[in-house]
Amino acid sequence: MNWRVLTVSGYLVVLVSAILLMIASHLPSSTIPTFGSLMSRIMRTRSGRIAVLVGWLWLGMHFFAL
Amino acid sequence: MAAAGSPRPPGSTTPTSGAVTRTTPPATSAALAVLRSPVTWILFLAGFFDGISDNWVHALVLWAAAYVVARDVARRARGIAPPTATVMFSGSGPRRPGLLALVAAAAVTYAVVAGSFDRYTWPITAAVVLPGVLVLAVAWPGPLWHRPVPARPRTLGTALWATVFVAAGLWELTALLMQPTLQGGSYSHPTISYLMDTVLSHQVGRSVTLLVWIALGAFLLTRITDSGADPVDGEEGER
Repeated sequence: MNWRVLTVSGYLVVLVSAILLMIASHLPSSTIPTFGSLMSRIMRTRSGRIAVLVGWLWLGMHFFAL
Repeated sequence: MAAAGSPRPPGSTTPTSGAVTRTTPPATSAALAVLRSPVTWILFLAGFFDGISDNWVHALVLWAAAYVVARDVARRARGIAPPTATVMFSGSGPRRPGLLALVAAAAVTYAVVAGSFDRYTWPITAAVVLPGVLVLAVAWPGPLWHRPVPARPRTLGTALWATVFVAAGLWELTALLMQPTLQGGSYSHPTISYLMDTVLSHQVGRSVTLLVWIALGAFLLTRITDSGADPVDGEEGER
């Protein structure tokens, strides 16, 4: 296994884990919060809102903007 | 003179049975609150690593956000109450399918048009920054609709999500640091940005990515809740 395969595999593990958490959070009587409710908890204060939304803005800028 | 019923700012003197008790000076208390704020640290460090990767303009955006958050935290720590959060629309959210279809059509049109521009040009920069700033401006005062704060989740569930986010960040950081230089991508140690270069070199890839991005922004905007009272990053929520 070379470094590239290992690195990409790491990203895939993280992605699959996130998808599994999303599925598990929607199961009945699940104690795992959904992604949406987690974001709601974080964004209930102004600093939380700004942090999350600037993170989102930065993502767009990083991939596209000058 | 403090208004009746307003919180007593740190640093004030409190008469108790004839004695006077001095609390923490307001400047010290504000500085400690900022140092304890993980959100400020995350934004500052993200800006630092973006900057040393030769993206200083993007770093300035993150540092500006860190400053805004730090100022907000410091003001609260000094007992300056934040303005009351305002709700933009009455009701509990859009329910009309026609309106949702219109928004979806606008998002697809935006993604197709913006995706036709090359990366790192002024047109696509405007196409990303303008809606981004608009979303921030809309979110600044409060939620779009009344939306109650969800109950505090179980620690284990939150920890699982945190583990995924932290693992993603550390893995990306590891790949970044294992590149021959911070400014150049590496085939052997690709960052997510490096892997996305192939996708974003085509118009379809850019349009799909922009559609996901704008949909995520809209989703986040609708998830903003009424202000909560539980402390977050060392501060009290807005009331």
